[in-house]
Amino acid sequence: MYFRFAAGLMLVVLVSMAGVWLEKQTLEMRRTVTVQYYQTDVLFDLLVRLRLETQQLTAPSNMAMKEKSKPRLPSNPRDADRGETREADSQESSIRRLPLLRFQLPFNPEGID
Amino acid sequence: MDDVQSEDIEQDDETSVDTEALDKVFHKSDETSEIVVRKTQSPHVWRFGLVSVGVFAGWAVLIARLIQLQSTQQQLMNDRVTRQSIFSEVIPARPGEILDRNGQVLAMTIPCDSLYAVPDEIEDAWDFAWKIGPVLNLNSDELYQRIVANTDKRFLWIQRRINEHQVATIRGLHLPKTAWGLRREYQRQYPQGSVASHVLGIRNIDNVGQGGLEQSRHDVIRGADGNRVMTRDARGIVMEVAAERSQAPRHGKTVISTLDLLTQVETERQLDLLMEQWKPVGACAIVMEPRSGEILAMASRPSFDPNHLIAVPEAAWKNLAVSAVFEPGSTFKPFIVGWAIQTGSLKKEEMIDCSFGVYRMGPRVLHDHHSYGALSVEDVLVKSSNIGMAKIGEKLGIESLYEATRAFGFGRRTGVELPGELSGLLHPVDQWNVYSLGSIPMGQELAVTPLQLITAHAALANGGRLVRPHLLKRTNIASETPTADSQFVAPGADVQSELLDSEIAKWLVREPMKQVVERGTGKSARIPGMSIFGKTGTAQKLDLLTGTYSDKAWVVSFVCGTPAEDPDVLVLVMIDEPRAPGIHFGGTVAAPTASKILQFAETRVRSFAIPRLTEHDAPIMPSMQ
Repeated sequence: MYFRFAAGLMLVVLVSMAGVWLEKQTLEMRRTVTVQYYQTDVLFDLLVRLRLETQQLTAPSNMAMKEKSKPRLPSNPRDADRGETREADSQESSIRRLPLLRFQLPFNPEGID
Repeated sequence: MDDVQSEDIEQDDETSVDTEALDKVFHKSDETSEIVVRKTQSPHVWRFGLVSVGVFAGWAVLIARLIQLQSTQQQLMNDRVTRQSIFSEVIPARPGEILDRNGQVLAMTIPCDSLYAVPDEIEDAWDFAWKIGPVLNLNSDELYQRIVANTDKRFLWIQRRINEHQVATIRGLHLPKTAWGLRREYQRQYPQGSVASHVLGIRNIDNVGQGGLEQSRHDVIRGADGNRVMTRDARGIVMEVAAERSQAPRHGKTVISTLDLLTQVETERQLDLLMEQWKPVGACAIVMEPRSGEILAMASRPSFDPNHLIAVPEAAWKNLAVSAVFEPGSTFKPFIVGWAIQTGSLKKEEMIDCSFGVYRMGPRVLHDHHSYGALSVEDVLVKSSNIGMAKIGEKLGIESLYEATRAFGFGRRTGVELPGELSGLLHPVDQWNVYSLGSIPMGQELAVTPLQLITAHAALANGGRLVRPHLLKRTNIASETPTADSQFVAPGADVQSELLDSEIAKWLVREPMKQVVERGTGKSARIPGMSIFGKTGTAQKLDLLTGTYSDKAWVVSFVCGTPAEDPDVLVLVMIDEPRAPGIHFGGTVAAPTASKILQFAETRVRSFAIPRLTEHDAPIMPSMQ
C-alpha cells in the first residue's frame, strides 16, 4: 500500500521534473535564437557600415580628388632639376587629373566618319 | 441552516448546565433561576447571530464581487492586465538603396541611435542638461529650459541621429536609466556626395523622400515598419517576446537607376568647369541613350550635398533639367523642318529665299545674324537662318505648326520618374497669330524644359520614334544588393510613337545637324575622328521690367549626339544667363562642354550594351499626325 503510494508519488514528481527540464531547455533555446537574431542584426549593421565606407572610399569623385591632391615626387632627385621633366610631369598630371578616363575603351575609329 | 440549529441546541445544553451550577451555588428558586437564565442566555445568542450574519454577509460580498469581476468586468480587467504587462515597440523598416546601372551605390541607409529623455523621471534637470549638453554640442541652458518646460511628459527628443562616439560617451555618464533612452533609427547616406543630388533627392529626418527618386519612389523605397510585442513583469523587465503577435518589418526595395556613375561624375565635373568659366545663373546637362530613352546622367547647377544640408541656397533645390522652362531657340528648328518634309509642305532639295537678312512678316520685321540669299533646307539649319525658318513656318500654316509642336511632346510632361517636372508653356492654338508663324519655327513663343528638348531630339536620333525618357532600369541586371530586399522596382510602361518617317529623321541627323558641327554654328563641338551631329540654341530671356526680350540675358544651349550614322548617345547642355565677359552663343558657351561630355559618354555607352526598345517593351502608338 505504502509502496504503491510512494511509487505513484515518485512518478508524478519525475514527470513534473521532466516537464520543468523541458521547459527550461525550450526557454534556453529561445534565448539562443533571440541572441542569434540580435547578433545577425549587429553583423548586418556592421556590413552596412563597411559597405558605406567602401562606397565612399571608392567613389569616383573622391578618387579623382585624392589623385589630384597627391604630391608627385620625382623618382630621381636629379631629374627634378630638369625643366623638361617638370614640364612632362605637369602634362602627365593634367592627364591624371581625371582617373575616370582609365575606364575608357580603346578608341576604334572604324565605322565612324 | 441545519448547522445553525445544531449550534443552537448545543448552546442550549451549555446554558442549562450553567443554570444548574448557579442553583447549586446560590440556592435560588426555580422561578428565580429561570429569570437568571433568560438574562444570561439572550446576549450570547444575539452576539452569535450577529457574527454569523456578518461572516455570511462577508462571504456573500466576496462571492458577489468575484462574480462581478469574472462576468461584467472581465474585459476591463483583461485590458488592464494587457496594458500593464504587454507592450510593443516599432521596428523601423530599412529604406531601400538606390543604385546606378552598374550596381554602384548612390543612396543607402545606415542604422543610428537617437537620444530621448523622460522628463517625468529626471530629478535634477540642470545636472542632466549640464552633462548631456557638451556631449551633443547643445546649449545646456536651452536644453535645461526644454526639459523644465516638459516636466510632465514621458518623452522628449534630445537629439536625433547621434554618432557612435556620442552614444558611448552618454552611456559612460551613468545617468539614471529611467531618465533617458536611445531609439534605433535609420539615416540616409549618399556615398557619392553631391553627385546626382537632384536626381536622387533627399530623405528628411522622418524618413520621407523629398525630391528626386526618393520622393517619386518613396512608397517602395520606404518599406513598411514592423512591431515587436513583449511581455514584462511588475518591475518592467521583459520576460518574453511574443513572436506570434509580432510582425517583421518589410524593408524597402532597391531602386536601380539608369544613371551611369562615371558619366554622371564627368558630366558634373564639366558643368562645374563651365560654371567657373562663364559664371551663369544656372546650368544643366542631360545625357541620354536615344533608342531606349535611358538617362545616363542628369546634372543641375547650383547643386547641394545631400549629406550636408546646412545653408543650402534656395536655387540649389531646383532641378533645372525638369523644372526650368526656357525658349529653345534654334534647337527647335529641326523638328519643324522634319515635320514640314513629312507633311509634304517642304522638299529636302528646295531652296529657301532668305531675303538677305531682312524679312517683313505682317507687322513684324525679322532679321538674320548674317545676310543670306537663297539657302538650301540643309543650310537653313546649318546657318540657323530665322528668316528661312519663318518661311517654312508660313508653308506649314498655324494648324500644322501646332500639330508638330504637340507631336514632339512639347506642352506636356515627358513622364520621367521625377517629381516637379513642368510641362513647359505652349499656348492653345486659338491664341496663335501671324507672329506665331514666324516665332514658333525659330523656337520662340513657347517654353520647354531641357528634358523635353532632349527627348524630342532623341526622337530624331531614334529614326523618328519618340520614346518616353526614364530613370529606372528596365531589367534587373545589377549586382545583388546584400543590404536590401532583392526585389527591384520596375519602371512604368514605356510609350513610343512614330512621329517622322525614319528616312527623314536619319537625313536630318546625318546631313543638316551633322553639318552644323562640321561647318555651322556648332563647330566648337567638333572632335576629330568622331561623327557628331548637333544644334545650337541661343534665346533671349524675357526682361520682366520692360516686358520685352532682353539684350543682355540669354539662355544658350547645345544638343549633340554621336555617331550620326546610328546615334548611341545624346547630350544637352543648357546654360541660363552666362555673365562672364565673352560671346554668349550656344556654339561658344555650351557646345565645348557638351562635346567633352559626349566624348566621355560615348566611350561609356560602348562598354555596356543597352538593349534596344522593342515593341514588346513598349507598344508603338499610332502616329499623332
